[in-house]
Amino acid sequence: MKKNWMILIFVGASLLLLLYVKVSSIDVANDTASETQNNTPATTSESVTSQTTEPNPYDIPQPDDPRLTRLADGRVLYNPSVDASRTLDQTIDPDEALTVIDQLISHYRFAYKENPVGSENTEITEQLLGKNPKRIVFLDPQSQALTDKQLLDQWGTPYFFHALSAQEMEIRSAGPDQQHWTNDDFAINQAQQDSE
Amino acid sequence: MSKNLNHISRRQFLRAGTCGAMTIGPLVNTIAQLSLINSAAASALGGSLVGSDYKALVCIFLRGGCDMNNVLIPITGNPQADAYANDRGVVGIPNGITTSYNPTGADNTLPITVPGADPFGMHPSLVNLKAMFDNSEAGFITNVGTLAEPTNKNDYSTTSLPKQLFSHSDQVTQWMSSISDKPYISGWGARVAELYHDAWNINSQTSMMITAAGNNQFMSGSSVSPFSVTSSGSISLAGFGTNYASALNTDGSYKTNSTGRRFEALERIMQYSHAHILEEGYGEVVRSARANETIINEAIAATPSDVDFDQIWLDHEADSGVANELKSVARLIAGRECMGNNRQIFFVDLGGFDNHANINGAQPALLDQLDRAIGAFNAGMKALDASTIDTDFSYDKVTTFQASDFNRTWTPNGTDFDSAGTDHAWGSHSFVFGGAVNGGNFYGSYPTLEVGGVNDVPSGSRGRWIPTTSVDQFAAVMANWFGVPIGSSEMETIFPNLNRFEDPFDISGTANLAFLPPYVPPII
Repeated sequence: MKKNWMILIFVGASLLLLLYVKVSSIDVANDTASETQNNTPATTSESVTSQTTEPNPYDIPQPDDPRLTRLADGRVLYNPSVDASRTLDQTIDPDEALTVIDQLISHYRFAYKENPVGSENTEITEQLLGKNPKRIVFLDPQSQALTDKQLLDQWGTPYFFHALSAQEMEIRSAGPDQQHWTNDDFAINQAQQDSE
Repeated sequence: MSKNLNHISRRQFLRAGTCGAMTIGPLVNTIAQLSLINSAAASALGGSLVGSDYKALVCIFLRGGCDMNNVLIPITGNPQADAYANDRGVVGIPNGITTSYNPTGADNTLPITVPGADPFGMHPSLVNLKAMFDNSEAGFITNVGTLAEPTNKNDYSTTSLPKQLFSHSDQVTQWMSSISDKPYISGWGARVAELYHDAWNINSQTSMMITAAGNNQFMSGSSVSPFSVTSSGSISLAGFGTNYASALNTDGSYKTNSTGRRFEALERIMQYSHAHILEEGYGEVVRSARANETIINEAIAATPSDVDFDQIWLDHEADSGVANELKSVARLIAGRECMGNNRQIFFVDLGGFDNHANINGAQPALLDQLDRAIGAFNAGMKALDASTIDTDFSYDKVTTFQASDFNRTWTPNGTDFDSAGTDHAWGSHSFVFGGAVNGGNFYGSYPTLEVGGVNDVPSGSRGRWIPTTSVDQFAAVMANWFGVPIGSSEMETIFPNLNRFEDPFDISGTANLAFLPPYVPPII
């Protein structure tokens, strides 16, 4: 009885091995075919579409990168950030505004591997405006949300930047009551977003 | 769904019995301490493993960034009292100055006398700490914080600053590592242990670092690990009841129920040697964890009969988490003979100090918890000193210091009493206490309490004091008291940036950090 079981197991294992070898050879063939296709000059409509797709803002910028605009004073506009920051006005949804600011911080972190440093709104805002080592501008200097180098929410209260770590920043709007840390506040946390 | 544990395979049994234990991080750390396997022999050694040259350093970390501006308060007669009352506004403690928040000019602080200084008061919750200060058992190191190099208002924009200033995580790490300008590698407590454990603790039976608050950067190192305990003792393997009550009789023999038999079988299996490195490592972890447990539990049970820590803690109404953690530390100090270490470093913590909101409600309660805990611990150390059974111990053997992420902003973030709080700042005040401390005094340099003043970070508007004493200087004085020689290569290894700052041991200088006596090796 035991011997029969062992024979069955052996036969089963052999079949599985054969199946694996077969599937692997098919995969290799497919990979080779796709590589050949990729090396062929793009002529299909699908390839053209992929070339016109928006560049990833987190790709490393090149010297003549269209995402960068160099200003006469030496500052460099990072257009994906600056364009996004132009949506910060009185009409934007409060949660959406936080998402945009979070995106600016995220782009800053992409450039410098850490968040802007500070515990006051002015300090963070100035760094987003170009007061940083490479003089990169992440926030439109003409943004409607700017007043006296402070980034204000829809109710005119400076956002609060809660520095949790080099990689994690909580951004808070005081909400309609214009008092921070009350029930009507809006807040966003990059790390929490990532984990969700 | 419960399983019938009488009919499980050996593999299932091992998995069920020990996976809980394997997930306990601190236990895994003990794999590096293979020498502890022989701990069972420790209790049989008898005699004195720890002589009179015993010292313990206890760190109390206040997580979240405690607002120490409300711990030391200028009061009437102090030129900075008006600034305190007016600038702190709704979050200020009434200090005798009449303002709209204090129309009667009440003074709710606990007044203290600081030699050569203007009048100060302490937060009204800190009754025990005030008494300790008055008795010269406690002192404050003022305006201390993380620094990469000496920094002032004028060179703030050009000097090297601590990485990610004002961020919780980074500032906690830098307080614990005492290195503010490089990525974290180890804590300064761990570096002390790495360099001196073998030399100081020749009869050691367990790690010289014990944490009652879980893993922390202060005690993390490359070759040493802390042993983790709970407020009630060691952490036992999961699945056998609290302290193995479901598996062991009071005399230590195995119970005859299924849990007892399972535990007995597990312990036997864990004694096997395994050819596979992971299996063997697994066995080592469990064996060393069990060995450490034995030692720790013996130590906790070894309190002299004429010292009743439970009663002392009861008298101080100290029953919070940090109070229980300090009670465990007190018991482990009392039972130090079982662990065989001449030097021990302990770590406890208390969270909840990130009071951006409702600081008026939260901080007094937190400081009250802290105060009762340190009051009980200080009384416990004195009781141990008075013990006629433990005659080797004296009150000056233990120094306790407090640290926190950072201080908080001088000005509040609101005007509503119930919701206002304070935000992240920098230079803080830390207290130290113990029999060796030159207490009843302020050390370092007390800051000028003025927004835009000489000590304020120039890029802000809220009052964030630039530290005038670095963590390196503060910690180096404690390390020296512990036994690390002044000017030694070891001191340089533990505090690689220390030489950037004024010599904290030069009593003729301006550092003003002689809060502990310098270490004098015992005459043999």
